[in-house]
Amino acid sequence: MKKKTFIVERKNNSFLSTKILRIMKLSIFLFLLTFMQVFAIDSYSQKTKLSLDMNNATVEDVLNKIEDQSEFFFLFSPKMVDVSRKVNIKLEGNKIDDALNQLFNGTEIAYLVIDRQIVLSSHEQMVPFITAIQQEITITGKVTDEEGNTLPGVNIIIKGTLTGTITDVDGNFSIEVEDPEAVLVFTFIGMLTQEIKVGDQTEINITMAQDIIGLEEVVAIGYGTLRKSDLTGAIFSIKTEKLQDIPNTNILQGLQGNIPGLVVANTQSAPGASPQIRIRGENSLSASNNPLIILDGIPFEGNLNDISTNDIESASVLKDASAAAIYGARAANGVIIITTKRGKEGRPQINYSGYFGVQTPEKILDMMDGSQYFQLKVDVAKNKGNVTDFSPEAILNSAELPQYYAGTETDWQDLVLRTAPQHEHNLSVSGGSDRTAYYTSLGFLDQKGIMKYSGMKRVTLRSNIDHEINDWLKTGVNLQLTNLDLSGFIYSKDEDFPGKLPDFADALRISPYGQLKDNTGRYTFYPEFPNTFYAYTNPFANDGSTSDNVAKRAIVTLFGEIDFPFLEGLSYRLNYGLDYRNQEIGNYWPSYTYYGFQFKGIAETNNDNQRRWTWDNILKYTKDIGDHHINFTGLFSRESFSRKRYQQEGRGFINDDNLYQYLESADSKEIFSSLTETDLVSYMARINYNFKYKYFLTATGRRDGYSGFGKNNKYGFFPSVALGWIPTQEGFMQNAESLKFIDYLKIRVSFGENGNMGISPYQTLDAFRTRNYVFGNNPVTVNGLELNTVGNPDLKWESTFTFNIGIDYVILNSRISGTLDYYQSHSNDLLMTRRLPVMNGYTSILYNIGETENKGFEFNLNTINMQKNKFEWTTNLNFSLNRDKIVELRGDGKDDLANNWFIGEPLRVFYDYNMVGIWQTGDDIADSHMPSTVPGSPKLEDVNSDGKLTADDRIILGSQLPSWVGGMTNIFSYGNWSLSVFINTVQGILKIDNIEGTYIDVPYWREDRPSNEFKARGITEPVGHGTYRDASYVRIKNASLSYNFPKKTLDKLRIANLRLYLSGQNLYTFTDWLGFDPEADKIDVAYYDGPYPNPRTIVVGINLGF
Amino acid sequence: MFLMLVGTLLLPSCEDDYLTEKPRSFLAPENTFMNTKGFETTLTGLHIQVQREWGWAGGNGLTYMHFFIGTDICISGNATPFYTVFESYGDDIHPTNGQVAGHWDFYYKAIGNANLIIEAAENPDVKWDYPEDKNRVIAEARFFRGYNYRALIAFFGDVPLVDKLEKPFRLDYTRQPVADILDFMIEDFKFAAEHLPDLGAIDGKIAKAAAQHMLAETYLWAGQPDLAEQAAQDIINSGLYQLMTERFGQKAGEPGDVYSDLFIEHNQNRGSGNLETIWAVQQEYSVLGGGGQDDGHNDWSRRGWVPNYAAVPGMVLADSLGGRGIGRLVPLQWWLDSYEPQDIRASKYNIKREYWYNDPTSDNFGQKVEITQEWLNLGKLYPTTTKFYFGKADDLNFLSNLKDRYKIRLAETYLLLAEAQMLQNKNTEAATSINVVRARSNASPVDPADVDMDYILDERAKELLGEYHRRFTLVRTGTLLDRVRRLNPKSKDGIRDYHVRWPIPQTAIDANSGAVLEQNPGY
Repeated sequence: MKKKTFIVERKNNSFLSTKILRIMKLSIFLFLLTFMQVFAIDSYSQKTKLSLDMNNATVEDVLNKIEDQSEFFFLFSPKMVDVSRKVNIKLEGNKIDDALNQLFNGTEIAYLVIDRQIVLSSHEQMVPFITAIQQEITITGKVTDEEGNTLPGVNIIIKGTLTGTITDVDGNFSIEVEDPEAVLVFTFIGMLTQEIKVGDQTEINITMAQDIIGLEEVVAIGYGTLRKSDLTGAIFSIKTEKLQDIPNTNILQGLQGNIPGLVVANTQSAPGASPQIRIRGENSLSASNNPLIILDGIPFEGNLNDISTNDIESASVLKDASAAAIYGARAANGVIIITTKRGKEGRPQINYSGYFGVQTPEKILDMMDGSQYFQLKVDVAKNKGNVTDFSPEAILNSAELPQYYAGTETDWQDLVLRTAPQHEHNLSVSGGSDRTAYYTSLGFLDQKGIMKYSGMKRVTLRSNIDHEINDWLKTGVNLQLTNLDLSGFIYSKDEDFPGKLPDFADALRISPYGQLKDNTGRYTFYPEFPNTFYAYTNPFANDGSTSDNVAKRAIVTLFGEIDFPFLEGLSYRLNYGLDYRNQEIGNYWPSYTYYGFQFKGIAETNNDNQRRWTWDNILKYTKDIGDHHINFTGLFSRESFSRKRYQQEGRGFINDDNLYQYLESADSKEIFSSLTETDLVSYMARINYNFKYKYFLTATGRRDGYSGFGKNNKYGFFPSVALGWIPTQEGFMQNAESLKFIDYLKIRVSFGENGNMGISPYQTLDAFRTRNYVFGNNPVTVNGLELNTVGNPDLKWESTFTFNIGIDYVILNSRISGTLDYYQSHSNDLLMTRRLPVMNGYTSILYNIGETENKGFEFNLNTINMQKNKFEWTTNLNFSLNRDKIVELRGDGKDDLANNWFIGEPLRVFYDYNMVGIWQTGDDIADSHMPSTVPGSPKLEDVNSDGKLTADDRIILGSQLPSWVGGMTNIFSYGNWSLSVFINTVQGILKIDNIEGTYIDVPYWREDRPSNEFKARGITEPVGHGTYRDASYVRIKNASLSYNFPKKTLDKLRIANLRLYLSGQNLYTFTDWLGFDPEADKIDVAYYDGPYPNPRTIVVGINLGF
Repeated sequence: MFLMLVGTLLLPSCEDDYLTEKPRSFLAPENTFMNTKGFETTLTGLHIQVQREWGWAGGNGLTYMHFFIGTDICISGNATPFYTVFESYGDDIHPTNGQVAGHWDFYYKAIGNANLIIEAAENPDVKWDYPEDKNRVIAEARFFRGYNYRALIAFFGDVPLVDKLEKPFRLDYTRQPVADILDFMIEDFKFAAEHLPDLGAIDGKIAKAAAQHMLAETYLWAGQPDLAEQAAQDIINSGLYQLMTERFGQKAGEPGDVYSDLFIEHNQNRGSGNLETIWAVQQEYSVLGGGGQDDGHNDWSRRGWVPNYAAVPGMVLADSLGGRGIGRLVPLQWWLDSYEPQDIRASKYNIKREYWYNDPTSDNFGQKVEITQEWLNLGKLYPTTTKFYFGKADDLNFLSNLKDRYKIRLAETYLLLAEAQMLQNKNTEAATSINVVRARSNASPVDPADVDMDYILDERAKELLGEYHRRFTLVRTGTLLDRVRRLNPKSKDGIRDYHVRWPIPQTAIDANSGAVLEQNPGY
């Protein structure tokens, strides 16, 4: 067993052995003892046997005799202890206790044995210390779950102390307590905590009950953890166990629809893409709206694809000001805390989990075939009105005609899409001895994309090690190594995210009669119009290009934690995190490709190095004074980030063989390098206080200094307060019969202020932009500089003030539980560009001025619908509703049409003409407000009824952010079978619909085929306007069926657990949206970059544990 | 021990350093304006801005078009509303038009950069390579400042006069009369003429003559033809420049004439033997900094003047037809008809009038194309200048014209001189000046009695079509309304008297909240 031992070897020659000490004031000694009480008692007194036989001897003689016989020595004040008293004593190999009992039984004298020292004093004076330094009672026992399975790794601590142990692999434990009054607290994740008073028991066997509601769950709150029942802020935590059957490559995908208040949008479905995350809407107009992500205590930037979902234990989402305030200046958009798995004491556990699956496009669009396409072209030509010849020769382009005559049609969509395999394997070993615990895993993921050429390969290694050097010093290391291979994508120079190859948008807007390959067998550049720049390019025009793209990342976190021996409850923790990421990209476009053609080959290499270190000093103090429970956390932290990029580009090569490996042979070369550095200094203090676990208070203050802000405003301070109350702990509720159905109720209120520093660095400085020029006919490129930005030295944080009120409840014997939250937030000092008179020499400056508001409501509901015999049906329901609005923009009360920002309206809106139908043949167009239009064209609303269609008739059509989102998981289990179905929905979201730019087969207006929804093609409209469509959807996001092999079977095979499952992702979507995926952001067929269709993934998987 | 460590770190002394940003991967004024090299690099920035004047596409502005559309020499072809509103006039030109604001911003930004240099050069701590660098740098910056004010007054008339980059910003600008701006420009050009070297250190740099030429034009604008005449004479008398009269350069041995030689790639710089060039903006194909997509600008003149002939069935892109044109600008018939038959400026090398079907797969291959009025209207096919041909056989879709572009050549100096002389009623001298230009092209000499403003403007069109801001010349000479009403069929009905000035952009008016920036009348 583990003991809080702090052994101090003392021989007789130690300072205490001198007799001088005997006259030392006992009170002083006893005072010293209070510091020693943390040192547990050595067993010398238990082992030493004494033999004595003295009659009518003075006590002093007896004591001297004992000192002679042993290493014991006595400390007492002769004033208090009458050592001249005569006694009889007989010992035959007895322990010292027996001797002392014989000597002092029935007297006023009490004794205390501390190692080899024995203190004698009056009972009265000794009592407080005796209780503190009691004799030990060894308690042993076994912990099991309700089904009788032993539970290894259960935490057992003596209440009010830091002393504790954990159960071994067989669920057994042994702990020594010093007092029958001691209470043992048994805690285990997922189980209800139990407190057992020792009394006179020496064997305690307990059965732990499952904590269905999770009140006992320990939740990461940032710089520490807290029991869920002690929380005051709006924090929602999820165990990733729940997500184990779902083939997510990124943990954020798994959070979608599972956490109220969190909106996850898989705006890009390409392998390696990161979803967009919003917590409680958007506050900021110009700065980032991304939440802060904390991985194992340190800020994580970048793509969570770098971390295997298998290694993640839990994710907590901090939503309100109070919860997030510990991260002050970066907390305004909320915080997601991700915790990875750690080892537990016990036999090594080996786990393998893996799946193999296939991905197919969730939706294949109906494309026009050749005849439909030709008909469309004819209809367009008729509507354009300047053509009378509708023969193929007149309608089709010269490059299309050969295919038309030959009857060859190309299904471009089919060519760029494919069925793609995906498999993942993860092997982990975890376990630990009494002082060291470890979790090590190796993961491998290979995902081919459903769009040709795309894919991702990932290898991860994680090792988390905790080690107790001694009773007061703990240390540990987390190591994460990742190799992420996204080769196959072509990086575009301007964006961090890869552009796609092939360009899917073009696959939807090239004629089925387009020419795929030319007569040399090469892919054509322009399948329709070989001569014209405006033609769409062949999605395969860059076929043959090379794109190597490998990122390597190492995240190392070291920590040391000291429990200060001199003050119980005080500890210090040092965290040092180092995150290093290197990405190397090498692209080559051969001279025969579209992109490489003009320059006779283009090569490009790009090396991106990012380094972030975080250094946290955390001081904690925990103190219980009676019913007052105080927990203080203080922080001093520094964080430093640097990013170095080196990019080289060469154009014009002799051959296509060297790819990007021989850039110096290029005709023209371009280099680019950059350095970005940011630094953050932070101080934070937080107090968690509760009275009787009934009334709770959390107060937090954080001060941050950020290098990216103006020299006059480097620092910001962010305070917050939260209160909690558990009425079910009050007598009136416990006694009231009518309220008996309420098992648990907690009311939380919080308010506070947080910051948003989501802007790029260097914006407070003046800066030139480098451009190039050549002088003379033998040109050597020279640099020129132009003023790019003029900085604002007053630039500071955006700040968001949030009020939150929430309820946590458990009712009807835990059949129903959940949370409700309502919040309001107000953001000030929004970072905005202010337009200036250009006569200053520059047109804009970034400054803090705008204001926005968010309010919303969210709930989470868990129900046990049915629980009969071996059958159970549970439901988890999440709902989030957010309403956002702009309160003020630039202080002048004016809307900003250029950005579509309107005061009093949501942050992201579409502002345009309102299409209310289609003009039909026979309508009185001439006398309408759109006299110059023709049948088949959209009927735009004359909003102000002035009989004319003017710019004033534009209105706000809707928000680009959803009005509500929800998720529902139903789990049906029968015996060892379990079926889980997860449905998520996004409602009330408007997106641009550009389907008319494509050859997707949707009906369009024709005189013989009128429609009130789809306009005619090829008509000229009097005013330009967009087409918008509701992108609400309900999606069967996931269904998984799993089977747990029975324990009996497995025991024979020496297997701890075995699960098999079949899981399907993106199974079906109910939506009116006409494109691939209502969730994607590139829903429209944009000019250069198209959507990536959503994959449907079906996998079979296995979890195997030894 | 840890507490002590923590305590040390809490000391605030080092923190301010820690949070101070240092510009490392970019240059800022404070770490640039330190020495001659820093100033030279920012001066190059001013050259680059002028390079983009011929075709930056910001705000959807096909900026090159605005110098020609709605004037007396061309109409729109392959039309887009981005520039046709400036041709139809009427009520179509608005203060909210992006092109209007685009030009306003473009020139004021350039002026801001020039002001920044002029002010920084006065810093006594600058480490100049040679003491005279200071005035040379200021001279070049003042040259560009004057050059950019010229465009502002041409487009907008009275404009705010700004002589420094304001920090913190100002919101109370007001407009100054054109006369004040002209005086300011004259001072800039005089300083530049005094301190610039006789010849630029390298082709493309600004030489003394460029400043004298701009000074001559500005004096004319300010109604001081005598001073203008002197400035122009100074250039001619320097002996450094002369009109090219013999074949020269890259294709001197190929069919052509001396006028076509002027527009052959790599024939514009003095280094190629061209002594007529006073200032050419530098461009270079397939060289970084030479222009094109990667440099954020395309010289739009090729796309403007070369027809969109590939849209004609039976015709495909060809280098010999100038590469890929899109037919934005269609020269007017009067211009085509204005040349004498022997005038080499109208030779087949310089004006393309006839086309042949060139698609080998076409039934009409090799036959002559009859240009239809419809094709002409749509910009598909029409007779045009070959000055901006830029065909690359292996890169037919290439967008730009990347020949060096004349900003000032001596032929124009002669025409400015003639204008100055004519305005002083020295018609004989004026005719002599014009005839220097005409003689080179084998055109018959002009009779002094025929020299008037119209004659000079016609001659400028014949000599300089597409090279110079035609609109500026017409505004400067006060002839815009008259000539457009007489010569431009598409604009003559729409143009109103107030159209001589563009509207002041609404963005500038709105942003200038501390004072009223008066709108031009009519808008």
